[in-house]
Amino acid sequence: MTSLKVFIIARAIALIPTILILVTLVFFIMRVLPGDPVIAIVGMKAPMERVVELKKELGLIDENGNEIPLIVQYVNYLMKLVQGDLGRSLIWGKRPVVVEIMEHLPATIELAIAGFLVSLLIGMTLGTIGAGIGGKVNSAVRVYSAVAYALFIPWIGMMLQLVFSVGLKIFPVGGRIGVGLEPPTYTGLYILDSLISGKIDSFISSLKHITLPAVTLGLVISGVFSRVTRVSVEEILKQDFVVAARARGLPEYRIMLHVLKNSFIPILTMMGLQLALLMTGAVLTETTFSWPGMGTFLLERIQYRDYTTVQGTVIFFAIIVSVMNLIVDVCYAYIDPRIRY
Amino acid sequence: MFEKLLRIINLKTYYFSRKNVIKAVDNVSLDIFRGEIVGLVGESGSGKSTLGLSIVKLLPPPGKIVGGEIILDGENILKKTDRELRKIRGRKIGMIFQDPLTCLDPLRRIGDQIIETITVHLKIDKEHAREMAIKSLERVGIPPDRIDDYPHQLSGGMRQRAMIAMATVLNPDLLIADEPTTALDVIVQSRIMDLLEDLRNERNISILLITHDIALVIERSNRVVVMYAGKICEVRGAERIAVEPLHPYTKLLIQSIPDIEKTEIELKPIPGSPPDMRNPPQGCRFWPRCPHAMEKCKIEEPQLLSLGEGAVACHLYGG
Repeated sequence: MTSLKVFIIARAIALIPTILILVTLVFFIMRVLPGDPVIAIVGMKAPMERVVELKKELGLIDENGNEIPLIVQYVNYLMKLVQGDLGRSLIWGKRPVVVEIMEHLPATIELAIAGFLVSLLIGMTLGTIGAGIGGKVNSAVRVYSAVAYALFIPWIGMMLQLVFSVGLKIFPVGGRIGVGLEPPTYTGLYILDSLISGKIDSFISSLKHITLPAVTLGLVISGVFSRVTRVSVEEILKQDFVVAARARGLPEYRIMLHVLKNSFIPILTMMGLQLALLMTGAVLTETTFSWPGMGTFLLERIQYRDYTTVQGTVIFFAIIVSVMNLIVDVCYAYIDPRIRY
Repeated sequence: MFEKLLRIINLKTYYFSRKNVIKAVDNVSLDIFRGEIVGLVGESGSGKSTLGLSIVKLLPPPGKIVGGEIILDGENILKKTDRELRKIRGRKIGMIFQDPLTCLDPLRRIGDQIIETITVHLKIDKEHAREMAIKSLERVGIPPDRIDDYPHQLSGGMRQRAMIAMATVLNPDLLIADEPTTALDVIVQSRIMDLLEDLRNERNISILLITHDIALVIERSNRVVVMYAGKICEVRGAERIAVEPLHPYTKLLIQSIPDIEKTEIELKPIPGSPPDMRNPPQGCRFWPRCPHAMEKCKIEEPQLLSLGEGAVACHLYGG
């Protein structure tokens, strides 16, 4: 397994230039965008002193009021970033962006994981059934994939709210947990935290709250997974080793295990590719269900023109997606012994 | 040597498409005796592989066995349920294929694949199964420390050895080898064939060797069965058929073997090409390519008649 370790280290090092490019892009795009952030924040009629003060705060001018060149601003930003400093928010308590992100991140992670699990469960089950049975069932799965992928998250979210919250009153319309039921923080994920602290009420409440958002997000992404699973299982079922396995007298369920493991490679690739969609999907889902995560947070700060926070959050998202892709690559190499770069 | 292990009686395996029916195996009868190597030879599309897959009832989807019997140990395989068939496959009938790389699960270690085969059929613990796997690998000449290798880590010859180890680990009565050496170079091919012969001698396994290579079959098998367009045209002992082929197709096949002792380097192909199986010729299926074709051949289909120690289906011999 040492070759696997070397592979992981090599891939981790290769991550640095990727993230650097991402940061550079975000930094310059934010500055190329039309509109003066200072005016946007303080308003057209703000006194000159206030404008100068804010410009200093933003690192646009130095102590003597001279403009700092863009490239110097960029280097300064990078130096801070390496130390884990994304700057401070421009509004309210002017708290460090990193702290604000960390407050909202667990909610998004919890939703993303739950949505991802739902989508994998639905997608892989339907895909395997479609490819395994074939014929009309297969066509039905094909249609499902297209329809699910085309669903608009806020619409399907509101439909679910209408049926299950307003109509049947089974699940809450929004929020993350019932009032006063927040469990003590260990991981920040309410489901896990309530289990660790043994609070059954909190556990049930958080589970009820996450069901509809997770199903909404999961349904939409499941279209991609049902398609890729169906195609992949179909492909693997045609391979010689399946006939060879039958010729050795293996029962069908064991053959399916071989087939699934082999078809998992394209599914895993798709998982990596869908992470970005999962993040944007989470943003839409969060706003539909007033889920207090990164999506709601980002949207709110865009409205307040909190530039440093928006920039920091986007960079943070970019880093998360790259790291997740690295994890996917490592899983890839772990499952398929033929892959070592 | 004279105990009949497997009897194939009037087997008909057809492939059904929307428009036509392809009679890949058409009324074929064949006995396989215990401990013999039967060489089944024919061109691509002659139905030889379909015959092999019919024996274990593993035909690809549009294929169906529409008639006949396959008797193993006095019982008709074709009447067995899936569950009963699974007990036969791998346990009583082993099978190896042309390309061992695509026939092994690329994501599982070869040892694990052998162990899986054992534990599916026998109620023994993993430790014992692993011992058996190691023994079977050693028997085919793979060192025990390769047991945890993945298929892609082995050479082509080793992979085929691993396949043989997997197919013979439970001591089957019959081994169906479908083009086992076609993907390998000549030297490896001859070693693999040596190994198969050794296994036959040690364990009295019967081997159905399916190949397009008539020279290989003459050299390595006891009896040669020649198939053409879904039918058997000649069955004869390997030594007899080499010197005295009867059916015109067999004659042409044997003439097509290049002779390294002669100086002439021109190959002698059989004129024409195999028939379109969607619409095979009337009468004898070989007549359009046959140098001895008569009027009778175009109308009446010759029957496989016993002649001497073998059988031949040709009007020249009264069929």
